[in-house]
Amino acid sequence: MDFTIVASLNALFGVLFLLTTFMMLTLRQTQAVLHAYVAQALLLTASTVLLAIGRRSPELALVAVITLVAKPLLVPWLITRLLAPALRAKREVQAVLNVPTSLSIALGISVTAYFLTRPLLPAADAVAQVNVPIGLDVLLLGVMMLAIRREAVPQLMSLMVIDNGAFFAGIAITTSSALVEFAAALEGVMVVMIVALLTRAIARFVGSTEVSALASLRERRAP
Amino acid sequence: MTILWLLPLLPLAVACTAALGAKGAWMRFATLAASLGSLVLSIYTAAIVARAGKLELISGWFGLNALAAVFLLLTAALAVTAALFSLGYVRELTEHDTAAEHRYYLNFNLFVASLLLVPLMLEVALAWVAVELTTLLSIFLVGFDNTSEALEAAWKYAVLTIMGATVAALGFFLLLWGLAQADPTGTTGQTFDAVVAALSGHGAGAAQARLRADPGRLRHQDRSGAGAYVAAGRTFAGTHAGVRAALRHRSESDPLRRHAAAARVHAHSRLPGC
Repeated sequence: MDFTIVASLNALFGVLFLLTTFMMLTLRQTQAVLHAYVAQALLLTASTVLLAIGRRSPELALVAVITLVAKPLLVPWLITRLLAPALRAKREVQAVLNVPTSLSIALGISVTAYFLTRPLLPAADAVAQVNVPIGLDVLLLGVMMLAIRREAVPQLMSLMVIDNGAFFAGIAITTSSALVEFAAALEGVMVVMIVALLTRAIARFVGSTEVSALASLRERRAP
Repeated sequence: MTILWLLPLLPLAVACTAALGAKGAWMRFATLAASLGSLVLSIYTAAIVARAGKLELISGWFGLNALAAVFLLLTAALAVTAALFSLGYVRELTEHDTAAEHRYYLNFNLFVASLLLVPLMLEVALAWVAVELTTLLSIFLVGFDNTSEALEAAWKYAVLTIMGATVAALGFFLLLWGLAQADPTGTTGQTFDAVVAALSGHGAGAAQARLRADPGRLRHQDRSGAGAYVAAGRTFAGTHAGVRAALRHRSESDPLRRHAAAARVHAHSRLPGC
């Protein structure tokens, strides 16, 4: 396939990838956020497949397979399996900010991310010119989601969005081996398992997964 | 040098015995013995590296160089100190609770194994993955006594360090990208930005680790050797990866390599779509 077509298709997937993040910001149902995450992870896989075709890299194709198995399949399965009570018990996701305010701030973050990455773009190829700003944007939006969500499960998914953002930018600019990607994917799965186990422990000992209510370790001023 | 495998395997074996339900006295003795064993092996391998310059078990992937040997020695020495201080601390904290003692020694030894693994990774990206592994394995060490205060600390630590490690990973990707393009394209500034991003992300994690070791801020960790070890060990691991990347940058700045990099960039710019 011609590299220009690959770059154009990748730009389309990049835009959809960014839109799923905005969608996750507006959604107030835990299950819906999980479905949006799956869509985002599939778009990430699609972008990796395109890169593998465009650069004729079997190693990138292997990375795409690893991504497909780890992100849109294994991670949601683990979340559903380990956190089923938390997913069912409280369907409404509470957030510190309302939807219009969240979207306005998100828009500002997107513009900032573009201007932050602009000095890097002249050295980049057509794919990296799309992936780097969008990857940084999604990473920053994930940080924002993490800050405004009150519940443990949406915060865990925000961590996964941050990871997706870093990965989306990373696949376009690095030439690391499939073994490294495999180790990184395995670590992503470990993150989900460890945070899910921690969420279960919090639910058992504290009686709720509302982590924003955990505020006993605040820093106190010296007398 | 197959002896290199033993460095992370010693604490890993103790972690396995803790997971299988070994007796408390055995775990205390085995943890201290494994830490001491790792220190002795570190000194031995460092002495070999001092003579030979480098040890490679799997070429380009797993081995020990001079810089890594320094960090390995520091990490192993710290592990012995933390294991020694853990004896009194854990006995006092987990009185009549053998399950808690098992949990502590399991998590402690897994964390030590992950820290010893970092300097042994010759591939920089894989060393970074190992650094992130230390982040994950230290989470349970923070919240091991399962009180609401400890779980709160563990949650906050997990969220901030995982986020910090991911931001640092993007910085690391940008750094590798800058290195691949090297100086001919004038991307030194780009490399510098990436180093700043990587260190900022790592800084978030290290600062949180230090918070755990600060007695004024987190009461349940105040006498723990593990708290200080989490802070110091993660700082060593992150610094080691950063210094390795910087050294690689220096070698990339060599005139011959720069010429090769310029040729790569020129060839790349001729690809369709560039």
